[in-house]
Amino acid sequence: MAFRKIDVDSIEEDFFREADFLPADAAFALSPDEAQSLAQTTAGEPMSVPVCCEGSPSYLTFLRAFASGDPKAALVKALTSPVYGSGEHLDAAKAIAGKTVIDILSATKSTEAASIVATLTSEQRDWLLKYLYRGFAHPESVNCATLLTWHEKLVEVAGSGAIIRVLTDRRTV
Amino acid sequence: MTSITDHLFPFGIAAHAYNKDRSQVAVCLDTSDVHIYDTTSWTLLTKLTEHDELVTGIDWAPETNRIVTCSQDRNAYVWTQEPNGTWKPTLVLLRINRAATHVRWSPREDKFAVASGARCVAICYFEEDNDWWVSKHLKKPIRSTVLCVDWHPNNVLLAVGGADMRAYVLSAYIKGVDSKPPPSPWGEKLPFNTICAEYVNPAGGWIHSVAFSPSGDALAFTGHDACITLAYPGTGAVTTIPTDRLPYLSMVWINEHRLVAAGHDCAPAYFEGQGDQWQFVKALDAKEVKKAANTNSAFNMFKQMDSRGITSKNTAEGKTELSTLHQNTITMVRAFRRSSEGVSEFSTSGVDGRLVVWAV
Repeated sequence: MAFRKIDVDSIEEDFFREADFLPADAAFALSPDEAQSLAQTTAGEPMSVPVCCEGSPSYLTFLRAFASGDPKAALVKALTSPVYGSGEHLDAAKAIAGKTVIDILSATKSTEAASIVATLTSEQRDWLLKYLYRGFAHPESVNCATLLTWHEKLVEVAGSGAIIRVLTDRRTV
Repeated sequence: MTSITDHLFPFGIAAHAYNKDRSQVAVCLDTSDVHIYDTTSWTLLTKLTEHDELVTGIDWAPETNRIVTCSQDRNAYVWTQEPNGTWKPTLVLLRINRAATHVRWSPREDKFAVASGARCVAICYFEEDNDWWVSKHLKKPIRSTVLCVDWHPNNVLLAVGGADMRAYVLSAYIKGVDSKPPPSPWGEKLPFNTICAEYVNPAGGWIHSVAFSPSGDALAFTGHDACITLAYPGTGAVTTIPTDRLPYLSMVWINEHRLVAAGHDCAPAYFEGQGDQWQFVKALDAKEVKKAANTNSAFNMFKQMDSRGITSKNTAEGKTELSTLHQNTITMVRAFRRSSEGVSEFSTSGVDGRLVVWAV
């Protein structure tokens, strides 16, 4: 139980808000409407695209690619334009993006992991590691053994620096 | 690229500063004391014991031979040497209500900047009328604890980095102390607290170190996200190098195209490049360091028991030893000697108690 019931920070005029931590270019990948419609679309039929979703074409391309059976391209897309940020309106979209990435990883042969990691840029590797930790946070719905193999291959290449960046980065997936 | 001298103190070193001819070194040892050692005999010359809390920063002005220290007790002292060799402290009015975290003399040694947890940087200068060090606060864009500062060679601009994950370049122009600075890529008119630049650490993380290049036309900063960012205001180029190692805590420019950084990784690392083309070059591992082979295992065992509290014989035989010269986090890198091409030797100090001088 919290010792103080009063939020003392809100009394101070110049206190730090969560949004202040995010860099200027960390504008959320999706607007609330987009996130909402994306959540509805993918829950039902992934191929039918409502008009309001066209604001984030890259994201839809990735979903299409995944549906049309090119998981590697879908993975690269997902790691190039990930859904991140905080706010309830993003939770559904983040859950879908997270699940998609984990599904792709689970569907890929573990022998291919090292070669796929080698083709990623360092920024994409950081995002992949964030998705891995997201998977570890929900062990009931993922096969952790697969993710651990990916984690091993990824950290071999990206080093402890990537783990540090997952810990410090406020752009959570 | 080898270590020239390597001294092991029986305590961790939070910060160190050499005098002008490098014959003496002042070290902060994670207590309220500062010790000054002779660098040839390693005898303790003086203890500076005026602070009440942990001393967090130290700087030794080479030309005026004055030491400035700052501490978690919210005070800073300027130490001047008496003719008989003792050091006399003068209290500085910092007017901060949180700990001081870092201190640096300006290049002309007429001002110094004290970073603090009070979300400000105190720019201190000597007021002749009152015979007293007074301070003005740089406050405006800073949102959190300031962890590091670095002076531009023009004696006016100050780089500031802190826990708000941003690096700033601010003007610390003091009327009556500074003459008008020449125009630079950072700006032309520079009254006090002008915000010349603001950079965000892309992957978050506190800014541990900021450093201007020797010309002052570029700024490097490194944060807890294990990235180093280089910014050129002239061209607008900003390059971030994500490393695969642990975060760096301190860095020094060797010349305009090369810098050395060190920190939690325990090994100093080189970065090279210019403009938007910068890259990690290499870290100095023990494999490259000419370390005197010590085959005396009994001696090693007792040394380990003494310095690291390891008693088991197995572990004493080097199994827990890192492959780097420093056996723990490096807290500070400083230029030790300069040649016409830039820094030719640099010194590092660490939590493991080592104070090492390296050749570039």
